[in-house]
Amino acid sequence: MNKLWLGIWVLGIGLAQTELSPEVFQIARELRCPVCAGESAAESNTGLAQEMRRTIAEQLEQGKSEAEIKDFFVQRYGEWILLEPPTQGGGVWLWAAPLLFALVIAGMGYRYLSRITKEEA
Amino acid sequence: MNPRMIVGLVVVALLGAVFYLGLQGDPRTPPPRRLGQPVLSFAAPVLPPYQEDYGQTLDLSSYLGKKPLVINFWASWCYPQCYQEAPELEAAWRRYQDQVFFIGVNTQDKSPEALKFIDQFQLSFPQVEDPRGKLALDYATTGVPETFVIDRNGILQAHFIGAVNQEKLGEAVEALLGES
Repeated sequence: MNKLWLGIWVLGIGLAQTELSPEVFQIARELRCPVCAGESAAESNTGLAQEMRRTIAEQLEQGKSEAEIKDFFVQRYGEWILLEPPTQGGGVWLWAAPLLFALVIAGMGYRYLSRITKEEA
Repeated sequence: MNPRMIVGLVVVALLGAVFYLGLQGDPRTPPPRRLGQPVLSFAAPVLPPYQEDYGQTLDLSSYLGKKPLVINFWASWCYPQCYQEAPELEAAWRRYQDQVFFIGVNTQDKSPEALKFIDQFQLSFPQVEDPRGKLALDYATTGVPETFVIDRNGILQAHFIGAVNQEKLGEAVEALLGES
């Protein structure tokens, strides 16, 4: 009998979660599940990830924007909670560094090849 | 060496250093908690065995900023760590209860199991429940057990991930008491 109640309870949680809007999952996909290894809050079925989705749904109902909702989690966990580093502040260097690196390497290669070509000509 | 080449090498070395440092951290490792930052207050339902002494709801603001606090997040399904630390926490509470307020937060658990756990370890410090994990999110936990040591100004001074023992907790608490 206990197993039956447990099954109903689990099913109930599952149904409650599937009623969440796609927007909830869209935001949750960009947030890390804090108790998982490399899973987003949208994919994980842990209690904390479910609570994150509920929190997102509640905040959307309150009219909060995606940025405000993400900020709610960043205030608590820091930028670690974001699956992708922010494109503002210090995070911009994480995006810019590979590009700068590639540009510098390309520049150096171009100069080297130009010099070799001139010497050969 | 050509000065331009030196500048180029320095730039490459700097960018390489950025890459190297970036690869050092494991992105799955949780960041250090914001030690030195104020913690959030909360009001949570008190589990039945403690309602006579602490009422139906425990409002943290009654203690936060007035007395050093130890807040421990646990669950009955957290085996073996929560089971290992429960007697240690109880012993620490008995030792420091005149100077420090301890609160247990039973998170994402079911009341019958939580009550059985409390009974098993005869926990005498107040326990509140957080069935959905809302407080766990507010305190940015990454699992259970986790323990937060907060000074009398409401500032987080120590944070333990995993089972804490009397020695480690005692050191953190003594450091707070030594400051006052």
